[in-house]
Amino acid sequence: MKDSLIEQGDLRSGDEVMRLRRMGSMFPSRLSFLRTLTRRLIADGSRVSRPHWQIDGDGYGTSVYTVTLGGHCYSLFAITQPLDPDMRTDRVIAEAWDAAFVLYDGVPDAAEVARLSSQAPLQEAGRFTEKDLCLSRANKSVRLFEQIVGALRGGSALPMGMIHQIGYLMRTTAVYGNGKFGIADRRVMAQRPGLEGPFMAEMLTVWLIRTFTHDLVEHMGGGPLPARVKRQLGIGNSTGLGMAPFLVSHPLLLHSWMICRETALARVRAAQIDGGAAQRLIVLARRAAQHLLEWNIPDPMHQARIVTLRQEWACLTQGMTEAGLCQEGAVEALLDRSRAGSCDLQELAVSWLIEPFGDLVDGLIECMANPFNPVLHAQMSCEELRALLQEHCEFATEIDFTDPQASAQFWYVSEAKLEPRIGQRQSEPGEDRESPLDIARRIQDLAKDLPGHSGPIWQFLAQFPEHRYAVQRVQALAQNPYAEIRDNLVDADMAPIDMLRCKLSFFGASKFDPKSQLWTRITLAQGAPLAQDLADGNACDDWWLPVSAP
Amino acid sequence: MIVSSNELQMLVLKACRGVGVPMGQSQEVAVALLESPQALGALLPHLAQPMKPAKFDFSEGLTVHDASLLRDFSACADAAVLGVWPVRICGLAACDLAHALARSRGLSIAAAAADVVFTGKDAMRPEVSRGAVVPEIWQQVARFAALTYVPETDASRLGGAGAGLSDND
Repeated sequence: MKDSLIEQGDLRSGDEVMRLRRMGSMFPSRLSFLRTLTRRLIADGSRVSRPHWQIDGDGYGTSVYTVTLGGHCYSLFAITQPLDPDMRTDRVIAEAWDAAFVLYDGVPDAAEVARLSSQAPLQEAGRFTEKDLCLSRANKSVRLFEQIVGALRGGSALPMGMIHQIGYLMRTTAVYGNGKFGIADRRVMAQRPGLEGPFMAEMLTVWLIRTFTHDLVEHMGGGPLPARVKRQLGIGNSTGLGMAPFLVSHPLLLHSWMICRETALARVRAAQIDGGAAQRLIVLARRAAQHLLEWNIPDPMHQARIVTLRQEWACLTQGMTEAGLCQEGAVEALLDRSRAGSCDLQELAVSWLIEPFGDLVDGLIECMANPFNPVLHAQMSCEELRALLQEHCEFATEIDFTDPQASAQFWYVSEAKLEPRIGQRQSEPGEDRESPLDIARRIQDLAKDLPGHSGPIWQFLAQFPEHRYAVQRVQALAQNPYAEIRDNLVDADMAPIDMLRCKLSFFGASKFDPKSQLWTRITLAQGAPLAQDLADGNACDDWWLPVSAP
Repeated sequence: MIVSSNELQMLVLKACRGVGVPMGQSQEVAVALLESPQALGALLPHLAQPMKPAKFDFSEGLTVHDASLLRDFSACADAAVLGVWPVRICGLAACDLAHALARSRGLSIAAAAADVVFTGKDAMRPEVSRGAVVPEIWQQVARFAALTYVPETDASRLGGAGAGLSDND
């Protein structure tokens, strides 16, 4: 196997990587799932067709897009309906949307289109079948949508400034997979070529939704958008707390994602850079600088981070030459210099350095799916477990939980449409129904009860059944160093936005636009190939960090 | 009523958590019912039953008194898997759920008078597939799952999700 022969440098440690501040600084990379999908669509020679289009002049109706991938046909069913502006919210508690979507296994016939037309707009209140692979909905970016329709109808200039700044015509507000509301379980597609990677069905869904939004605005405007403009229009997404617990409830999957990214970096650190790769790094560094210039958001704290990053990036990359990059140790020197800057700078540098080395790193995507969960090793002795706690869990055992600030927040699920929320422990009810995301506190509780016990851990757990979950996680962490977020997820200063950004960067999101510490908007697939690019044979996977004029 | 495997697993996990079963054991019960959904009805009496502290006697194999099936079966299964013998859970019926929990660990059990005893380590874990559940049973389990949901307040609606209520930009 080629991969087994690839040299690699040292991996960054779990203590360094798995900190919220760093996870909250991550950028998309060529290992991100949308990038993987587009490479797969290109390699497969996939084609998109539109076998059904019944949309009226106001943009309301149904349509179906069909794509071939890995020997299977999948269809996006889309339905648009009028929406009272008072009802337009991106939150889970919404009950109506501008558009609803289902990724369907095969091509729906008329009866199935009728079924989907009745159920998809209901979203969480609907019932779905194993033919339905993903369920999603989206709201318009109202101003941009109307401006583009108006420009197309009137033959006036497109609002290019808004197009570059906003970057999408609609925002998805949820993309449900894995059995939710009766749709197919992940198991159904886990072995299918092209969908075997994590969140591939969800990524295919959002990429097809993007195609639909382009067609919809052209249909309503009565004229075509130039392909270069459509490439600039990705698909937005609003994401809140619902996404964060996934990283905690899937520790081994999180480890797989992280170790693939870290292994990619380690391989690049050991690689000899030739002239071609050096030139590519220089081009990509300029693109990153332009991307940072074009990334402007309302939130002052996050905008300040971007401004700082622009300066740091300029310092890191100034004076860079092809000859200099080809010298031995150049990558290490760049990484060393980045460590003098912010986490944002360091993580941007990681994604940048990986980008030119597809031949070294792209094979790692086959290791990013992981269906397993931690399993208790019941024969382990209490002494062995104590040693693991000492060696791997300082991040949890050193926290002073007698300080109320250390457990000031709690995660919960509201009975209002089961919207995930965060509460203040001292002032809000619901602590008794707290969601189990307080991993550090649970590990510390285990560490406090363990002294004085000996023998196999199963006997300890018989008497202390509440520690079973923590023991499993400690044992898993010892073997999987990126399986745990090494921070206190109930601390007063904990910002869930960091967890969201980590996960969304793996999806391939860019232009993070946080609306609070609990909520962000993002852009997906901006700059990605169009369905027409696939048909024309000129699609390419060169859209890391989209810019307005690539 | 046809439900997905994930729906079943998540509902059972929340129902167990809702009545105070620790997270690790709740996960194992959820996996067992994912593999043996026909045992869902047998879960209900155990969800409704208060849990009191169990007494573990390790002097000869393992004997457990006052066990809660949902909370304490895991430790008994650990012992059986590791070859501890005999393992006996006193005063517990060998219901469908107990068999499902055992199968999920590759174990088999049998009734012995009023007790459950572990009898083997070669049980086949069932294939997972989506299937039919009785709607009335599903609704009853859902009521236990709802014990993990926090009632809405104006403060939580406005502040708990970190987002506003209008997105007409």
